[in-house]
Amino acid sequence: MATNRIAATAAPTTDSRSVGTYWKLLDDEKVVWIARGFGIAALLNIAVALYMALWYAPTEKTMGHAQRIFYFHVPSAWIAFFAFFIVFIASVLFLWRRERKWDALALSAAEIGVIFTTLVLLTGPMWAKVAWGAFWVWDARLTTTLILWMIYVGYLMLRGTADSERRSRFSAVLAIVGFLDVPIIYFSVQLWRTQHPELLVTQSGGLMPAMTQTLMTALLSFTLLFVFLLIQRVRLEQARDQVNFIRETTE
Amino acid sequence: MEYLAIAYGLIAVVLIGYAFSVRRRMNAVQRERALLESKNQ
Repeated sequence: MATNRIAATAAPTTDSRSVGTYWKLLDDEKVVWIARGFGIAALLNIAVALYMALWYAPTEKTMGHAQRIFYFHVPSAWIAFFAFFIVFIASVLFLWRRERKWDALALSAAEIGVIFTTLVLLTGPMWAKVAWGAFWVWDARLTTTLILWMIYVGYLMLRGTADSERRSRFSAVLAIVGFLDVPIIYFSVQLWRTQHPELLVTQSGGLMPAMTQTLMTALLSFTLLFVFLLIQRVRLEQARDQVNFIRETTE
Repeated sequence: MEYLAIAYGLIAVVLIGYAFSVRRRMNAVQRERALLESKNQ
């Protein structure tokens, strides 16, 4: 639809309710309730994951209770990577199709990705202090994760500048280039000599079954939370566009 | 144990803070929309 394209937003049509509604599904009352269901399921699952992380999972011998940070630190990183993957895909689709919906999805996922990367950077040092004796070391994985956070904070700052199609294009390019850091982070423990442990979730070695179950429960709870937050954030972006359109037509 | 408490506390503060931030921004947009629509009528 022409009205959903960025270039067409400067020339509004007479239907104020339909313009800006690029994700029609999100305004459906049933979908709103499904989104709330995701939120409630996430809350319940987080409570279960918290119980498992604190009482069900065994205490690790060398690091003690501090190792339990791992059960939410690792899912935070995985969700952040997944969020930035969505930003990458949405940015490619935006540059290809020039549809506002992909731009809005990229912005929404980037904001949530930054939140989860912030959690990684906050919880990691707490665990590192116990495991390595220092809050921060300039290790390859830690440094590349900090760079990833800075790239997407920069992306959000760019989004805060004057509203234009050029801004959307530039930020889409930044998001695509920035995503190249994600595989670098993932393979950093194999590419360079690092202090950061490599996660082994296998039957033969690595984590004990109770630890793996706790990790997977925490991952499920953060995935549900991510879906809930993403739906809410895209709905917010859509509502903003609708208000901007009404404002443009009244002025 | 204290580092575990700090880490879990930080997770809770960041996630609850962000969820409220999205809700607050949505409420502000909905108020503005209602105001604009009442002006148009």
